[in-house]
Amino acid sequence: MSISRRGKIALLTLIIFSLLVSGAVFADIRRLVLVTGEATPALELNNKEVRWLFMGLPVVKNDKNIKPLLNASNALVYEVFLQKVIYMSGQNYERRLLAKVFRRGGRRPVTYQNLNRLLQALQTNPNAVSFMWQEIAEKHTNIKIVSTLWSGNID
Amino acid sequence: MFLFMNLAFLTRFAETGEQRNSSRRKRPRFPPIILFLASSLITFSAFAQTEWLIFGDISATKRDLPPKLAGEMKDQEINPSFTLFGNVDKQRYRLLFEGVIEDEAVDIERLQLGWKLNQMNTLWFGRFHNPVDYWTSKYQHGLFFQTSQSRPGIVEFEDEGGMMPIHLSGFLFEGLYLTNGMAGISYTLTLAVGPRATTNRDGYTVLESPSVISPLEATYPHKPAISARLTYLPDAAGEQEIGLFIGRNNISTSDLSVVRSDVVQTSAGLFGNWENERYTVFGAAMFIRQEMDMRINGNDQEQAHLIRSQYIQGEYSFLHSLSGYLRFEDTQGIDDDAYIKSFSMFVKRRYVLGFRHEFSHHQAVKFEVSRAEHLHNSIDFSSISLQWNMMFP
Repeated sequence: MSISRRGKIALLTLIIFSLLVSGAVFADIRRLVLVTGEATPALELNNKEVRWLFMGLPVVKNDKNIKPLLNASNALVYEVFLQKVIYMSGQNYERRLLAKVFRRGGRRPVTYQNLNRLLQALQTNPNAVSFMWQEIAEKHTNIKIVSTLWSGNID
Repeated sequence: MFLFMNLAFLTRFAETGEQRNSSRRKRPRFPPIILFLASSLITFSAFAQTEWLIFGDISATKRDLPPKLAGEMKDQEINPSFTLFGNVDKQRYRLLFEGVIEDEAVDIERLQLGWKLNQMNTLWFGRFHNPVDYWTSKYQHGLFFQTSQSRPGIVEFEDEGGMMPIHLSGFLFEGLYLTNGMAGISYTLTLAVGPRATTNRDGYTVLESPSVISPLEATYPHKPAISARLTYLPDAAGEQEIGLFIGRNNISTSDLSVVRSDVVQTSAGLFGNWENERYTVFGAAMFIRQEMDMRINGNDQEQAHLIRSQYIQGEYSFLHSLSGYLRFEDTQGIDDDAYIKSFSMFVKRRYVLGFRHEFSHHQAVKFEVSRAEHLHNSIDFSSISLQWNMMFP
């Protein structure tokens, strides 16, 4: 079966268009990842453990207490983390943490408004974990990705 | 070293308001408070990890009192209060402090020094809240966290007419066991001394907690109190829970003429909290057995009474910041109990309706109406109250 020149052009146009469209779709997919400093030994944390950790429960890995660092340097990443991993609004989350501290003592996770300071804290504390967009994590060689916490489109 | 210097300062300071239930309430001494705040903040922040919370509350209440009670209760009152909470972590040690300044008293409500045995278990020494019952463990003295204005009568604080020990001094062991799934089991055990019953200057019986400095020193002694609580949390990081508690208190009553011995109070009960995005329902039901010798017709007679008490509160969140709530509480089996009868302001039954509006960051206003039956001649009356709460930061 032979395809005419015009048919080939149409087929090629269709393929290119499909790739562009699918590329556009994939380009909208964001990945929220869990990160540690590069010096941190191999670490495995599932989403349940991450939720416990950021809700103030102790999580021990490799005989070390894991320390959660809240990334509030970007409002969207913070909001997505709370909605998709903690399953709570920002107001409820803050109130739960304060109520827990008030009941039994302890401390809330440290919040970082500045990304550079967060990256610095991850480097200096090998037991610390935080979260950020995958593309941000990939730009910085001094941190490493532990796992993907969530991926999807952001409307 | 600095930690213990501050602890010593705290305990000295605590004594200024400790005896609030005795015959004379002491006025708050503000210079020591300011000194304490400043010294503690500077010292603790310099060498340890700290958390500080400040709560402020103002309540305005109007009561529709029947003539019989007109001379005994205020028909309207305004009560401001200020609460300071602090937590200091240093390696395996933790210091927890909760102090309240009210109109006529300064109280150290909690002062606990904890030793973290491991990540899940802590052994505390000091003054803490009795784990028997649910309400106090859920809210402590933090009115901002509490949706309603009032507390159930059965778990009312000692200086507000409560008949059960809320504050104990001694050892508290608490921990959490995490299952492989989502669930957790928390456990609490106390070995302590509890309050004694005494008569205040208005002639009412109140429970007086042990001194923070020397809990065993008193003109007549504070007696042992033991309690335990077990809680199942379907989601260890969540708020839903169900559990049971048991406790036994020996309460000295040398100051009460009608009761001729210690009151041995044994309590056991269940509690639960269920909530979703909009609804919250929680409550507790308990049995309390009280044994004592009573003076009847010139003779001492041994008596035992079984009291049943329960409360349930339902809350609905209309909007993100506006909630409504209803509560019903009821205590039965107290008609022949001389010990409880001496707490004349004890609330026997109450219906409560209210609203809480969080109008800005960490500020809320509450409006509450209630119909309460007090033990005093079984008189019932209505109250209406407005409360403002704040928390910082």
